Amino acid sequence: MFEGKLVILRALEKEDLGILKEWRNSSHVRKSTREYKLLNMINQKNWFESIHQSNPPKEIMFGILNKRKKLIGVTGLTYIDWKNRNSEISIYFSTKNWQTKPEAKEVINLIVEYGFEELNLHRLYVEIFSLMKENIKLFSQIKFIKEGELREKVWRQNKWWNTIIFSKLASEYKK
Amino acid sequence: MNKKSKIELKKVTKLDLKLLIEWRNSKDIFPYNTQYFLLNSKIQIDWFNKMQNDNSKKMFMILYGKIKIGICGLIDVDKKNKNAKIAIIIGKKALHGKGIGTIVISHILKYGFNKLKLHSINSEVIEYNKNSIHLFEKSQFKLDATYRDAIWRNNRWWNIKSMSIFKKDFNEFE
Repeated sequence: MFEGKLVILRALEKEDLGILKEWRNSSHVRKSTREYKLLNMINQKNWFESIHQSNPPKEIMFGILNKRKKLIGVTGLTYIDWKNRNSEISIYFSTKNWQTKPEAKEVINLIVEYGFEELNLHRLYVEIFSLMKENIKLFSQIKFIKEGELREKVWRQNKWWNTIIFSKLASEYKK
Repeated sequence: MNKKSKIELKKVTKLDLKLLIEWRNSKDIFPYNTQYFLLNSKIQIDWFNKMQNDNSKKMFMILYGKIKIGICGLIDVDKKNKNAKIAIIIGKKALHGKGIGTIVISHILKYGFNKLKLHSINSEVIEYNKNSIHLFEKSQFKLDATYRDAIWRNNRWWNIKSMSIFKKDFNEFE
């Protein structure tokens, strides 16, 4: 368990998959993720199996708990490339407008700390749809550097949207 | 016969795999791919078999005057968001810088935009691969992003350039 002032990160368990499914299918999470289907328990179980397949893992996922030990969100490192030492950060919460809450920054700090200090990664990145203004603001605030925009990369809400790539290098990381 | 009419794209067959291994492991090609291990026949046969039922990969042999000179195609074809990544290898170094790449790219774009009805096609190039960057620029690809320190090669970090072109910006090569 990794403990912050406001949140705790713990390993995900199979028993979490039901509630995660509800969250992933909710409109505020769907808006920000690449998934375009509605997920069922088969999808969820297959995903859970698949993230435990490779060694070293390509995905390391955590449940986010509040101080009352209630599961409030999910975070993790995905597409871990051990050769080139980079990975994408994944994060979502059960409630809307989480981006402005102090918990969000703390979770990202914990995951960044884990990526650099424990896994010895070199670059952590996120790909944000341009419709997610809140996420863009959040990652700018915590000093991720904008690397560029992939033009008209996703089709959502009946139009094309750019995706924006932000990253932080180990050399830019200060505890 | 001009260059354009001498170039054809053909289906990849099992008989081509030996040639692919030779090209992809050669010192002229290997340093420019993100692949970091040398290929053997098992890897290449597995790749070929997997590709037969994989709609996200469309690969073609490049023939120049009936001789196989390289491989090209589209990978990570995303039907939902109508995009794909372009892949191209001209195996024979002597044929580099002769305008063949430009014609091959034009063929692939035509296939991706007209046949697969894609909206955009993307290319990712390691920054030291100046010839490829130049080639894609010449084909009207525009820089979208520079992934900083995204690959470790030759004892140091390098950026990767991500470029793309839209269907509406593609002028068919005549």
